[in-house]
Order: sequence, then structure tokens, then C-alpha cells
Amino acid sequence: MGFLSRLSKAQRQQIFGRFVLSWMPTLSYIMVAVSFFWLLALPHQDYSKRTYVSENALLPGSANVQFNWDDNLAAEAYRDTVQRIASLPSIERAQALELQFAAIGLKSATQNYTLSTSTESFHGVNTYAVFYAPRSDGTEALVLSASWLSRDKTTNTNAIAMLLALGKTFKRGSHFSKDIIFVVSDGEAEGLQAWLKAYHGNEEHTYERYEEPLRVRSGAIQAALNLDFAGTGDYNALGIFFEGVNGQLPNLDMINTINLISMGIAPVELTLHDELVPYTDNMTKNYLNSLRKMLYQMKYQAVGTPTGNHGLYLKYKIDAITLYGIDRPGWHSHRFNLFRVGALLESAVRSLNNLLEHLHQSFFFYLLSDVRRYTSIGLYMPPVIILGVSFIFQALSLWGLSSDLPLELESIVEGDTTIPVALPYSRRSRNFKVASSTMGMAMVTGAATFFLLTTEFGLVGESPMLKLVASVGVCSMLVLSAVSAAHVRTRIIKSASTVQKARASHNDTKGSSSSSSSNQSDNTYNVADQELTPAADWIMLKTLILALSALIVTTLSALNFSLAVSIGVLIVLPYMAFRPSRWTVVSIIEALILLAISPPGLMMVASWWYAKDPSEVLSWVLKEYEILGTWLLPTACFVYWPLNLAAVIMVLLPVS
Amino acid sequence: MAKGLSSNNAVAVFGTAVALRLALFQFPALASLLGERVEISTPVTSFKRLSEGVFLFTNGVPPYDGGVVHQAPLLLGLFYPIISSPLLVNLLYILIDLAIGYMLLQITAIKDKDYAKEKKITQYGGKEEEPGMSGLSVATLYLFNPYTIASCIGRSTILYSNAAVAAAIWMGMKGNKSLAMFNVAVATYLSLYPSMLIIPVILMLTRKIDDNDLTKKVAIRCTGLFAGSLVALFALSFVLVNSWDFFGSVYGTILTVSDLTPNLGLCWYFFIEMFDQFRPFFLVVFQIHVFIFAVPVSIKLRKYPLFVSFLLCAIMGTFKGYPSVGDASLYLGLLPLSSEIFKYMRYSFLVTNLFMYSTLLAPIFWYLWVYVGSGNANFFYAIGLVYGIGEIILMIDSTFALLRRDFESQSPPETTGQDAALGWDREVVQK
Repeated sequence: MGFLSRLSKAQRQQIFGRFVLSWMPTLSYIMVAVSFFWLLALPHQDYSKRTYVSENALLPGSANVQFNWDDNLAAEAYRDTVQRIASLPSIERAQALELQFAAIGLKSATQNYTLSTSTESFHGVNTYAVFYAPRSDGTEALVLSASWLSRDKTTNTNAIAMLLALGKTFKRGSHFSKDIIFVVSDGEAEGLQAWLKAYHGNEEHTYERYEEPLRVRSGAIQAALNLDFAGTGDYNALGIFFEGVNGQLPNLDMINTINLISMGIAPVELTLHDELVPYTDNMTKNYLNSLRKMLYQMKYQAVGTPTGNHGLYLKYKIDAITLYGIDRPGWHSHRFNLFRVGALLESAVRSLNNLLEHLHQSFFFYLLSDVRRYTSIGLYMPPVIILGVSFIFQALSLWGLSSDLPLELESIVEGDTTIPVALPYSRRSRNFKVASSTMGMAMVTGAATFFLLTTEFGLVGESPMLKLVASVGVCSMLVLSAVSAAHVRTRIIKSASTVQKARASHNDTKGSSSSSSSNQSDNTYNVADQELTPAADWIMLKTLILALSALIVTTLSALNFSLAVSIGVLIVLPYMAFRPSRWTVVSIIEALILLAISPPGLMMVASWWYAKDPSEVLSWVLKEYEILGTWLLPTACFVYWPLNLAAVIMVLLPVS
Repeated sequence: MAKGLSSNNAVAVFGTAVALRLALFQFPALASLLGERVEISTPVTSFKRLSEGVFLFTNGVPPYDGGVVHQAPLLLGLFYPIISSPLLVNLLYILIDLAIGYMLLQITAIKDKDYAKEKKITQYGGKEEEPGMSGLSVATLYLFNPYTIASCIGRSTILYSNAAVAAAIWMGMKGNKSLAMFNVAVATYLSLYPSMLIIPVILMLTRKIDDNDLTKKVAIRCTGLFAGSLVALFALSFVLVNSWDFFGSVYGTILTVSDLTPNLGLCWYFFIEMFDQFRPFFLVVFQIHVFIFAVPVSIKLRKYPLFVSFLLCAIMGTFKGYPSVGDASLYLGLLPLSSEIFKYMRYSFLVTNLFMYSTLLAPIFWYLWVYVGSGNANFFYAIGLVYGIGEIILMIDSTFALLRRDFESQSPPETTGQDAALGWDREVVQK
């Protein structure tokens, strides 16, 4: 204190500034490490809590189930029927199913749809039937749906048979306060999407997209269960799929309800997704199992693809999950048949039927490490925020380096004492012209690649791969021109300043002192009132890249946590550590690493990982964007790629 | 730059601005999307409501009866002949936006002339301070500000009030009393709060007058002109819609914040949550809060009327009941008029980041609240608060910078001697 109080305020500020500027980069690396460890710790048991039913109205499993052996026999009979009609063309099997629903006494209808993307065209027919609840006013509904194609790519026989059998069971009951809609959709996701669009009055009638308007309707859909029971046999366990389009999640109470029912009224083994893991006491194994489950969820969330047709409901604010029958011969648990499934579904529907308002009590933001354990947003959000802050700290330290506040002090000689005084403003001006124009050009280029990839030009031999090559061409043109322009400019300035120096022929000892930029400058005309050179262009560009990365990672995490985490983890170290080097080789290695994490690079990695052709991966991404409207492609083109391009340019810029 | 539009650069800037806006207007979906964003069009500036008003007016229904239209009658009159043609409407918006850009350019030219006569501030190394940004840069910053573009494409009617404010400042700098006061009156007529600007505009008009009595006379005459213009505008409105209902519907809505549609401001959430018996009290507090700064700020910074008008516009844009990004576009356009203070500002990094974060997060949290249903109103209001903090820090920082520069101008760094010992506190010591 004694020492500090002898200093002037300006000097104290200078010391503080030095301290902060010298420690900020280290601090930001420490924060990255903390964030990584935190993320890795999330699947650990101690970080998750047991799930519980939060909405009291649900009362899961409290109603008596009416699904009896007769219904089971009916279901088995329907199974044979479904098997018979499964191989018919779309329109015929849809009509056959419509008749079956009508025979039960439900109002049923079919819906035609056509959907053309830039590469292929889909056509199909959906069947749907409505059970009008005897006591309701028809303003609310629940949906039970199944598609003809199971996620195993076989016929979803048992699920469709189950819908018919449940229709028959429900018809007997008088407990329902919500209408129940049965939907059997054609195709993969596009069938159910067409039905949902038409149900909400968004049907289109263009040549590329056509959805037939629905003739039978009910009220607002409160919740939906999507069934996926492939084949005609029995099952070992029930898997729950819940990840929706663009990482949206259903209310956790949907899963909790099934969970409680599966432990009580209809005992089945429940798991997340289609993975069955044996119970173990081993801590490490438990952790690894949880980690795998969490990564599975995060993978689908990040890509934005739903893990089943339930994901489409979420777009319309309808909570939904997919129930999947896992058939794993040799697995130790008891096998169960349609009787058990029927009881479970009826109980679940009765439970959802109890809802007085839309599900809102439980969590919408969660990570599941097990079907009964969740990690809430309060625990998983901090690591992303820490990651964002580490970007900002790094940007701030560069921002500080590019000025001489508060590091430099001015000395005033007053008699025989020298008084240090803080500067009122930085004598080094920040030159943002190159940085901002590079960033702007990178943004425009990113938008151009999106335009290239998604537009049909009607050229001969046009393919997604060709378009990608064109986009990469556009990007490399930008990088080449920006880098070469910068190098030429520096050369000119350098030669000018050497001439200038020779003319001055003084040893400019004062020079530009502290920071990394050296003393070449185009305005050192007079050594006496020499101005400090502005910071090098790469410093400003890097500041901009880091600030924007922080912006993207943190804002995206509110929308899609997994995507934000993936992007953050991928870019944080390269973007923070890389800078142009005096050795060209190092710069080039850095640029190559950055190219590896650019969208085309990542596409190559993905195609190698899944042992697929790159063009297949690309068309898959395009298809997901065109059919489901996932954000992966727009995010990659408008946000991720521009930052990556700017980073590549940054490492190739001249050092000073 | 005094030559205005003649140079090639100016043609390029204004041409690009027109082309960009025309190109964006080619996507009607974009215009309607932006027009429905709560950040861009508020109940008192929404183009949709204006169209409704014009429709009612055309069909002989009193437009202010339904409680939907809150825009001034003369605005209805302005749009009445052209509303059927989207092209004409769009062109009008583009034209007004360009006009603001042009006026900013002219204001800078006048300011530069003033500046040339001032005593130069000595800087480090015995150099003289370099003049601030050129007029064209100021206009460019306004015309290519994303807020300006979004507001223009979203067809928010705040643009007309902004144009009146810019015109008032231009005329004030030019010394044209009647036109300056008329424009302040128009701005007041359109959105009420700019009435505060009468003080800085009078300061501009009297800035070259040394005689105290004459200053007073001019001020009184200006106030008279202002009142006269306002009365004339009201009378004209009465003639147009043939009733005084518009007073309640236009100014009543602004003052009582009766439409609580969410926006970027600080009022809506507050008044949604509040018990009714406290409402009048807090209403008065909130409204006084907007106006209370006008006099002290004008007294303290009377040497810098341009900066005062910036500050008052920023205060309006922050604390009024229905702020939108259109307000931000105005004060962010006026700020570069005092560009010589930029290097004294300390929080530019922070402010820029706050503006960027709130701009991105506001639509995201709105989406989570309204479409996905996984968020709630608190999410969106929190971003409104972040935006407000950004605005307030900008005001504080720029005021600090101005005062610091003012201090430097009185005591250049080399001569301050003993008082300099306390570093940042030099200013305090001097007093």
C-alpha cells in the first residue's frame, strides 16, 4: 500500500493495464481448459439429477387400462392385414388403410403430396383418421402417428397394426376429453411434414410442393406420440427418441410420463435411443456410457436432423417423442409383445388426455445422460459462456495492444520533478479499414456460396458437388486476392519507408516501442514528432474475428446449444492461437489446419468417418435443408465459413 | 465537402444506397417480415397501422375511432394519394432516407466552417488537432447503418420524424429561424418527444450572437415561431380529419403508453407487471425522466449544440415508451457530427459489442418466446435491458469524451503542469 500510494493514479493504472494485458491471454487459455473440463464433466452422475414429473395434471399410469386380450388378438389380426397391404403402391395401401379405419368407425381420409427438391422428387399418400372424443368440444387433440417406413428401413408393421387396434379400443371408451388423430404417413419425414403443414393450413399448391388440403380435422394438437415398431415380432426394450428439427426438444414431461408408465402399469425396459447397455457398478464404464448417450443427442442436435418423425411436430409447438421397439435377440430382459405395447400406449394417451393446458411445467432445455437422468440448462450453459468470454478476453488483449492506453504515460517536467500523466487518448490510431473490408468481403462470399449451393441453374451436368467446387473457387479467389493485395501493399510501404529512413539518416531510438508492430510506417516523415504506427492489419482482423466468434458462439447457444458447443470447441484453439509467423512454413501449416476445419474440410472428414462418398454427404445436407429447413447449411455458409475465410486470410497476412 | 453532391464519391455513395434499398425492396417478403418485427416497427410507427388508417380515412370512417391508428393525421394525408402504389411508397421512403443523408452532409459542411474559425487544440508533439470526419463519411455511416436500412425496408414511419429532426438541425446550423422552428414543430407533431430539441436548435441559431439581449429576443421569437407552426399543423390536421380525436389517439398513446406491445424499450414490461393503482405515478416518473435532461444538458454543453441534439435524441431513443432501431439510426447518425471526440472515447469496444449482441439476441429470444414456446417474456425484456445499457454507456462515454476534449482545449497537455499530477483527475482539480 505504501508503495502504491506513492504512485500517481496514472501510474497505478499503467501497472494494472500491464498486468491485465500480460495475463489476459493466459487467462483466456485457462478458461478454455475450464470450459473443456466442464463439458467433459457434464455426463458424470454427480452433475445430473433424477427426472421427475413436474406437471401434476398428467398423473401417469393412474388410469385403469382397458386394452385386453381381445384387443391384442385384434392387433395381431391387423398385423396380418398390414403385412398384406404393405407391398401395394402408395395410393392403394393408403386407401386400404382408410377403409380399415372407417370399418372401426373413425372418420378417415387420405392426403396426396408431392415434394421436389433440387435433386429428387417425392410423392406419396398419407392416411389419417380422427376419433372424436364423445365428451369434448373438439378444440384439442392428441396425435398417434406411424410412418410406413421404420427407422430400420423395414415396414413399420406392428406400429400401424397398433394404431388400428388402439382406434378400436378407444372407440369403446368414454373418458377422452381430447380428440385422437391417427396418422399413417408415407415416405420418411416428408409425408408427416406434408400432413402437418396441411393440418395447420400452410399447404402449398406449387408445382414443386403440393399438399392436398385435409378433409377431416380436429382441434389444436397438444401432444403427439410417434410409433416405430418394425416387423411383426416381439421386442426386448423400448427406446425413446426425442431430438427435433434444429435441436429443439420436447418438454421433458413427455419422457417422464413414459418413464413412469414403463416402471408401473406396463413394465418394459426403457432406454434412450436404440442403445442397450448392461447395468454396471463400474464408475468409468458408467461415465463412458453416459458420455456416449449425451454425444448421440448432441450430434443430432448440432446437425439439426430429427431422430424420428416426432421432430417435425416440434416445429409446430407440439411436444412429441418417438417410441421405438428394440429387438435385440439374446438381450437379458423379458421380451414383450403387442399386448404390453398396447397397454403402455393407452396409458400414455390417457395421461396426456388429462392435460389441462399445453405442457409447460418441466424443462425444455436439457441434456439426457440416461433415460432417468437429466442435466439442466443451469449446468450446461456456463461452459459455453466461459468459452465465449475467453474469445472476448483474447480480443480485448489484442484491442489493448493496438493502442497505447493505459500503458504509455506522458512525462511532464515541472521544475526539477518529472510528473507522469495519463494520456487523454491513444496516440496510436486503430486502422480498421483492411480488417473490416476483409470481414465484409468474407461475409459476402459466404452468402454467395449459399446462393450457389441452393440455386438451380438448369445447366447440363449440374450436381451439388460441382456447385461446391464453384463455391470453393469463389472462396479461394477471395483469399488469394486479399492476401496478395496486402503483401504488395506492405512491400510498397516498406520500400517507401526505407527511402525515408535513409533520408533522415538518424537512429530513431525512440521508435515505436512496446508492442509487436515494428517501426515501418508510411508517415514517419519527421523523427521529432514521430507518430506511433498503427497496429498491424492482422491484429485488427484477429480482434474482429475473435469478437465475432464470441458473438456467434454465445448467441447460437441460446438457440441450439449443441451446435454452439461444436463450433466453439472446434474453432477456439486455432482462432486464438494462430497468428501470422515470420516463417512462411508455419503460416502455411496454420492455414492448412484452418482449411481442414472449413465446411468443405469438415465434409471430407464426415464422409471419411461414415465411409460415404463426399457427394452423398453434401446432397444429404442439401436435402435436409430443403425438406426440413435445418439450419446447418445456412449457419455454415453465412456464419461459419466467413469467419473461417477471414481466419485463413489473417494467418497469411504480412507480420507487420 | 461543402459542394455537396457534386463529387464522384458522393454520387457513388448515394447511388449505392439507393441501389441497395431498391434491391431489398424487391423482396416483398423481407419488407413485410421487417415491418412486423417489434424491434423495427412499434405501435406508433408501424406501416401496417398507417395503411389501416389510410384505408379507414379513404372509406370515410373516422380513422382514430378504432384505437388502432396512432400516427399523425397529416401522415395519413401524405400517404392517402400514394398508398395504392407500393412502388411510390417505397420510393418515398428511399427519398427521405437519402434526404437525411444529404442533410447530415450539409450539416457537417457548416460545422467544418465553424470549426475552421475556432482556436486549434494543441495535441501531443505540438501538432494541431486534425478536423473530424468528412461530410460524406458521416452520410455514409448513416446510409449504410444496418439499423437505418432495416428501418427503411421495414417502412417504419419514425423515418419522417427523423427527417424533420435532421432538417431542423440543418436549418438551425444554417441560421434559418423560421424553417428550423417549423421543422422542430413537424418533428414534435409527428412524435412529440423531439419538442425538446427546440433548445439545442435555438442554441445553434444564436451561437454567433454575442449580445445577451439579442439572444433573448431571438429565443423568444423562435419559441413563438415554434408554437405558431405547431398550432398551424394541428389546425391543418383538424381540417383533414374533421375532429380532435387524433390528440388522444396520437399523443395520448405516446404519453400514457397504453399499447403494451413488446418493444426494445424499458416501459412495456414494467407497465404490464404493475398494479393499476401505481400506474399513473410511474407513468409520470417515466415520462418526466425523458424530458428532464433537456435543460441541464443544454446548459452544461451549450457550446456544443450539435452534441446536445445527439444526446437528447439518444435519451429519447432510450427512454421513450416506444423506441425502435429507427431512433437508434437517428442518434447514431448524429454522433459522427462530433467525430473529433471519438479518440477520447474509452468504451467503444464494449458499446459496439452490446449493440451487436442485443441486435442478434432480440430476434432469437423473441423466437424462443413466441414461436418455440420454450422461453418467456423475461428473455426478450432482458435483451431490451442490455440494449438500454449499451445506449446509456454510449451516452455517458461520448459525454465524457466531449468534456475531456473541452478540457484539453482550455489547457493543452504540455501546459497543465502541477495540476496534471493527478492524471485523470486533472479536470476535478481545475475546478
